[in-house]
Amino acid sequence: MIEVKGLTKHFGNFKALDSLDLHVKEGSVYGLLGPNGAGKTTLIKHLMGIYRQDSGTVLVQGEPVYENPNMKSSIGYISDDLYFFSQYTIDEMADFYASIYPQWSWERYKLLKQVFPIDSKRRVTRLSKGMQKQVAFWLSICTLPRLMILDEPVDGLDPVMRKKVWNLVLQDVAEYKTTVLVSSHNLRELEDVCDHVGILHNGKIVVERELDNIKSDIHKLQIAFSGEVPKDFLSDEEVLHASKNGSVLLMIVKGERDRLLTKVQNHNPVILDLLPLTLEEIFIYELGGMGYDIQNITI
Amino acid sequence: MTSKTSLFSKGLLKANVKRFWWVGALYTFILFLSVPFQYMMYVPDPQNEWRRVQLDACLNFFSGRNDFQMVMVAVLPTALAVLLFRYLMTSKSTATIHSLPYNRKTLYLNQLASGFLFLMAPVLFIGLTMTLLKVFTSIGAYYSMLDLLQWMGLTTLFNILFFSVAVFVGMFTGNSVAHIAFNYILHLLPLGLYVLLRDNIAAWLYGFSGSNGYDPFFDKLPWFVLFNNPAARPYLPIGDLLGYLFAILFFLAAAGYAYEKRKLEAAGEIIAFTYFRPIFKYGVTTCGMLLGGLYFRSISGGSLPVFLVGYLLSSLIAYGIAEILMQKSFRVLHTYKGYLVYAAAISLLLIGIHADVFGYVRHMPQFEEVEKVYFGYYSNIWTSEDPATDPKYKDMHHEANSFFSDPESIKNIMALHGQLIQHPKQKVSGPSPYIVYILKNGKYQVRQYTVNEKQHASLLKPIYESMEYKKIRYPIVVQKSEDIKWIQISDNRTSKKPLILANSPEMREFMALFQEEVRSMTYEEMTTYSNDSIYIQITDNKDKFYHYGFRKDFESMTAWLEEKGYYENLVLLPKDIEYAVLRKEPSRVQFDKNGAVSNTPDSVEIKDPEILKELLSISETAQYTYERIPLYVDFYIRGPYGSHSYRTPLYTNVPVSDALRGFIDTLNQS
Repeated sequence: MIEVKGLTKHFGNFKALDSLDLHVKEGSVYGLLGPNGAGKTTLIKHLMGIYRQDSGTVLVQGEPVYENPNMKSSIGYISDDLYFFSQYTIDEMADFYASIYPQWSWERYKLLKQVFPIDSKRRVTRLSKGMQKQVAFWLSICTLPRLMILDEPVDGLDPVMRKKVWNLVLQDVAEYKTTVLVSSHNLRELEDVCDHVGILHNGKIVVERELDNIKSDIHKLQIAFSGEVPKDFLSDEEVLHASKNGSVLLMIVKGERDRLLTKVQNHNPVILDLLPLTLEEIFIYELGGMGYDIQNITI
Repeated sequence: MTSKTSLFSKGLLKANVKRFWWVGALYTFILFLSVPFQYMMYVPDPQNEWRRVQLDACLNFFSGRNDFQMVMVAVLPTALAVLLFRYLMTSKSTATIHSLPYNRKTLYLNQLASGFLFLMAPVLFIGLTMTLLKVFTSIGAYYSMLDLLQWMGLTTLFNILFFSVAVFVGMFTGNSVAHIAFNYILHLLPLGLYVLLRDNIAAWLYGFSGSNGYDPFFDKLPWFVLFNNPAARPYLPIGDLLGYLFAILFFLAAAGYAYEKRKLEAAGEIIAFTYFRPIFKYGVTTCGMLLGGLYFRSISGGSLPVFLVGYLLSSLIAYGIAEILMQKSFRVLHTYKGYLVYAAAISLLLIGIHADVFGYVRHMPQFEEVEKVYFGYYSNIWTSEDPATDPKYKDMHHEANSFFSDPESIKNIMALHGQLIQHPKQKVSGPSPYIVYILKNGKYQVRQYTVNEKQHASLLKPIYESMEYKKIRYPIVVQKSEDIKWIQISDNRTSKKPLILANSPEMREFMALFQEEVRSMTYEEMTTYSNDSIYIQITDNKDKFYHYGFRKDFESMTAWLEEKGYYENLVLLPKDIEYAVLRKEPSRVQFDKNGAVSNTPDSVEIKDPEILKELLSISETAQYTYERIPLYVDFYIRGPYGSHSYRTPLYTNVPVSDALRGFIDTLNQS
């Protein structure tokens, strides 16, 4: 669905995106992770054809998005910084969207009134930030997009509304194979909805994988030995993190699960636990290896 | 999935109407008040012609009397362009609008169309109202449909011209305030830069003519058409109309092109295109430098060090301001290197100009190249094919036609020029004639110098005493009596009848004497100021007038008038003066507590014929360089039509008799 190759973008002397590659399969929910200032919004504005790249290609369904109204009409975009015409009510916005999006569905619009408890005669700019976000989803979903690009979409929504919104989005994914690209800091939430994640760091996608793969590839081990820790223990494996709490050794290790387990068991540990890794942990440990570390600074 | 992409989107147009309808409504209301309402309220009053003239001005775009309409043309289209393209100025709206399924061309054309709609619909509405008024009411008698159509056309033309400039400017900035500011700067920049450059160059290049007025082209710039239309032209020449239409197309096309190229992350930046930033920065620096330099120079009376300090200070400030604007921060000290480069470049340029590396100051054409020379005070007259018949110079004084083509004269002027450029730094006070070489290849070399008739006497003398010069200053010297209709001699101070000599032997005699006087005039005579009260006006057969002062040293002519018995009946004589009153200048009159003029005498009456004679002779010999005493004399003169008065000042330079001194002292003491 989305093919980005060698995307580079400068803002003045600042290199925001650095020959970035990105692949999003049709029908997948792709989570875009990255620390603040990594370039998530910049990347998304390229995907929406708002920014023009310095070099590289940005294709959606094999076509460039930039200056391509046809393509844009099939993309639903929720920006992290919403803008509505100042005089418009929700109904009038819907009218406006209906006049420019060929797939617009009034049926859905009316149906969704049940989901979003806002009077559609109210002026959008008078609504709270969270309510404006709901309106953005409401309108966007009614355009029946093939691709949804969501920049920090659930920021400012209450937990119930988050659930409702994701429900709607995922329904479309299941039913119409709608593709979703979502950027967020809320890793817990992405973990629930995404099947793919890409981690963006310093203008580059440093990790891009199926979430299940990541999870099966990185392991959190809790190990305790009766005596000293064996010399060169797992030194031939890619250890992302190792710490010792009393006699319990905590290690985050990359590698095949069974092989790792056999290796550890060869040293006869007293305790051996293989724990599931959260997305948050993956995020932190992956980036930790790249100098984006949690440093314990006491203030 | 494919939808037909059309260039116009009803949704967008509707959105613009919904958001900005009030601009159109406001404009309609204002236009209604300034045109149809004026006519509706008009009550015919034959006594009040002025009211009628004002009314006619409503529909006359160039009348110069509808300032308010002009202000609307300058403000409204600009405001509209700023509003319509405001979405490009904040990153929020830019991102949202450009994520909609439109390409930039569609967005641009829709904003333009909306702008045209808001500008044209009100004018059309007023046009319709006025048409209905004409058809159904008697108000229609005061204007024609042609007036109305012309007004609609011109208003729309200039509205769209201002709109297109504002749209164009908007594409180059990402800030609405800068959008407004740059828009008006662009309107004024051409003339401002021209004047600044010209005056600065004149300060550096000796001989460069800075006081040349400005090119009439500048009056065609839209801003000056609205606000500096002194000619109050009745219509727009077709060439100008085409020029404005072309300008509109150019600005709109260039703006469209810039929009295509514009990077949307420029929202919020002062200058949207990175490669324009140096141009902006150094442009502001240069303008600041030129303006500040001139200011420092003018307050210091032309001192070079102050001028340079002015350049340095003002360019530094301007550079700082430009950086502060672009970086949106006061921390701009780290950009000092850019200024150093600029300062170095300008220093080199100034040193170059000062050392005359271009050879401008010292350049003189070869004598063989010169066809003729203009040595006079009328600017640009040399560009005319034949100034004598050119309607543009129809009303000029005969001395304006100061062309010299006699090789001897050319040599003399070149000698003067050569001398002048030897001493470029010499302080000279006096008049500043042009020296313009009209070359055989059709080119001009224009220079202007200050010349002093005392300092440069030896070089001016051969020029002044040449027949060619006298012919310019006193055309009578070569005129034939057959070509003269009449000669009139009159004394301004009296009501005595002027003497008119027409086509008679006497006229020919007088003319011959006049010609002889001029022929024999020396440089010294010509450069001595003569306070003439008697004038000779000569009218030729083509009804062209020539005015000359009747100089004191034209003795043969005075003698002739006396001999013929005309003198006494023509000229003010001491015996014609009944009495004179010596007065203090009003500013020196004391007022008492009640506001009335205090009792101390502020005037004395003089009846003594000797003193009257003395006063008259003082007034006749006075030079304009004399220093005045704050007193003046009113002569009360008897004449054939009753008495009248004639006023003249007094001067410290002229010695006075004891008797007169007594009167002056009486006044000064009180």
